[in-house]
Amino acid sequence: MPTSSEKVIQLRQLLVEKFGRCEPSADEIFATGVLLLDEAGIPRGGITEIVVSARHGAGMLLVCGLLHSLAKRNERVAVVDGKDSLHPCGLSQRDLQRVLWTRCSSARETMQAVDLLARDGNFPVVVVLLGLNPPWELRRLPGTTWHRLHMLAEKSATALIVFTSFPLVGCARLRLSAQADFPLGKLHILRSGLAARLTLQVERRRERNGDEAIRRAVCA
Amino acid sequence: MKRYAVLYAPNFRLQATLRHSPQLAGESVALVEVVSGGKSHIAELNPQAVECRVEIGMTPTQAAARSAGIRFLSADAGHERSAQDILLQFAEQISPFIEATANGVVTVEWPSEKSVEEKELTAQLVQPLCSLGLDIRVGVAGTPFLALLASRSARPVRYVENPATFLVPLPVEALLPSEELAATLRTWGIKTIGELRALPTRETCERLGPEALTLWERAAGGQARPLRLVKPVEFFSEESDLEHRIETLEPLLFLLRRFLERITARLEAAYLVVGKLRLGLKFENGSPYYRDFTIPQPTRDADLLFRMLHTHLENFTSEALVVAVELSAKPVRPIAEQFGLLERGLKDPHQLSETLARLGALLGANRVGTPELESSRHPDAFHLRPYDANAASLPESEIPPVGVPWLRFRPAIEAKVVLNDGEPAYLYSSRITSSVREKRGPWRIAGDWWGQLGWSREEWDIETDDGRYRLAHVGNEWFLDGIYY
Repeated sequence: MPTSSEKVIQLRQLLVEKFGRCEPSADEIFATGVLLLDEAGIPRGGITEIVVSARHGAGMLLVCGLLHSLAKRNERVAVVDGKDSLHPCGLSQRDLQRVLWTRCSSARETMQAVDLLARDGNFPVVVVLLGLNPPWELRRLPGTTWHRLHMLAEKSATALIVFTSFPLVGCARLRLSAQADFPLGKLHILRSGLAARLTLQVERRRERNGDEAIRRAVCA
Repeated sequence: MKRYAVLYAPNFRLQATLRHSPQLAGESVALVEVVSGGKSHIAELNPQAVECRVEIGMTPTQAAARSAGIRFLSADAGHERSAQDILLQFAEQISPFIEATANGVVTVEWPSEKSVEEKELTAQLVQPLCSLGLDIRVGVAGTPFLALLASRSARPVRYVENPATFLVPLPVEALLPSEELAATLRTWGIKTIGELRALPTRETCERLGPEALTLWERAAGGQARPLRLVKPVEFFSEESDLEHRIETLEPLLFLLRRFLERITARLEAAYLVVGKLRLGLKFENGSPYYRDFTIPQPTRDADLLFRMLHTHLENFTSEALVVAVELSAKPVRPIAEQFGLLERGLKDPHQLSETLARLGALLGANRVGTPELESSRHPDAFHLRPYDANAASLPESEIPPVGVPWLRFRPAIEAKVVLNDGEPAYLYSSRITSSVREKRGPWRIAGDWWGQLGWSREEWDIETDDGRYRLAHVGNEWFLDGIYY
């Protein structure tokens, strides 16, 4: 006698066979709950690259905002840490409660971990931190790796959000550039106040049918 | 009226061993045991061997002379234990009052309110046990002894409604008399129980002694007696001592797959699912290895469970060869889970478990999980706990989050700092060499000062040509602790 979960899985398979995949479409936008990201429109089932060039804290501010917002909604999130550099003490336990943190030591390991998580399909969002990986290591990654990840994310309707220091992911459906403008003295004020000084710029948006639109619209 | 059922597995030791050698199906097989003096003889035979006129008590050489193709097996205590557990677990389906009467013999006290249907017994016991490699007979009668006698002549189920009619044609040996008594009865020309019961009771007992009384009682069908109740083991297990040592993954997986199929078939018959799985390996050097698997969503899907074992063993190495394998499953009742209206369940809990196992194998188990903050002011005070996809959410903190989060260098990067009026002015490190444009600090923190592990440090935020960094001063040394990314 199958268990309830097995029955649900069997029923899903039956429905997919009869009516096609009924999971969220890869065209959908994933609502993160972070105003800036939602305005840019994070695609579900694709790679979003967020380039944080100036080292002022904009990247981690976005990551923390994302984790906080997802924790509010009880969403599961995987953080693939390219250089084992996440500082959990800067976050609250509530935000970390459903976070799967994978602590990698190289870009190659990171890609393998992302591959597994993108295939898994149980995490609606996978955040990949590559900000501290040396550029030479990242440039050695074959371009096909990103294409494969893109296909996997599309299949499992996972939103892959990759934080980098320079444009890296050629097949990203959305490339954003994050900027922050707060003086050193303002590093220790309330985070809500800091977020107001954050800007996200859409560098490139690629539609699913392959059309590419290069925009330079300031989101905030 | 009380009734008893006896589950009897003829040639139990041979059957228990043959279950683990399916390739011998259809061949003549004999179970060999070593007797005192180091000599071995045939202890049990399968029907094919009997057809070849091999007999119990022969030496293997004599048996091979009668049947050239006969295969010899030696008894395996582990296999026998597994087979006995299976019998007990299946017997428990009929009634909780069960007795492990002997190896391969289980007596069950039948609930008086339950009707006995031959079809039901066949479907509930005989067929499932046959699929697990155990050919059993079932006898049902008013006393345990009569039920045992019935089971020995059952094909595969036999009821005894009228004990007298059933017992009369049976040979006297069925009453298990001593050698001496059996010889005496033979000299009297008594061959069947009917002939024995025709003798005058009192006079016969006077001549043959007190043993005859017991024999007479048995000839009358025995008496109802309280059973020595046993509880079947909590775990469903399969084990095997290997004749040929295992050194590669493939044969081990082959064996485990077979074990899993048997365990899940047993669980299916009992309407249970696997809650936990335990893999045990014994190595040639005597060292054991055990690994527990918690099943995220209890199941008896052999493919899923096998994938879990496969993933683990893919990354497992040992210095010695495997000489014994054991797999046990802790059964649980299937869980009916109801999620909250707005709660999102996992798409596939088993896939997640598989992914976590693969991530653990790729990065190491201590590098995958959920960070749990510790109650300490020590920098980087946290530990990883295994990921729980359904962890309860915590209430929001009343203190709003403060400050820009940063990324930590692990390990911290050693630096040389040139001070100007006690404040960092220039920085040399493997990562960056730059003048310090702006700085904030120092923040002095200390902890555990009451113990031997006391610590203290001074922290600065600095702005350089390359970005903003967190700088730490510990003792006389400086470190780049992290970066504002």
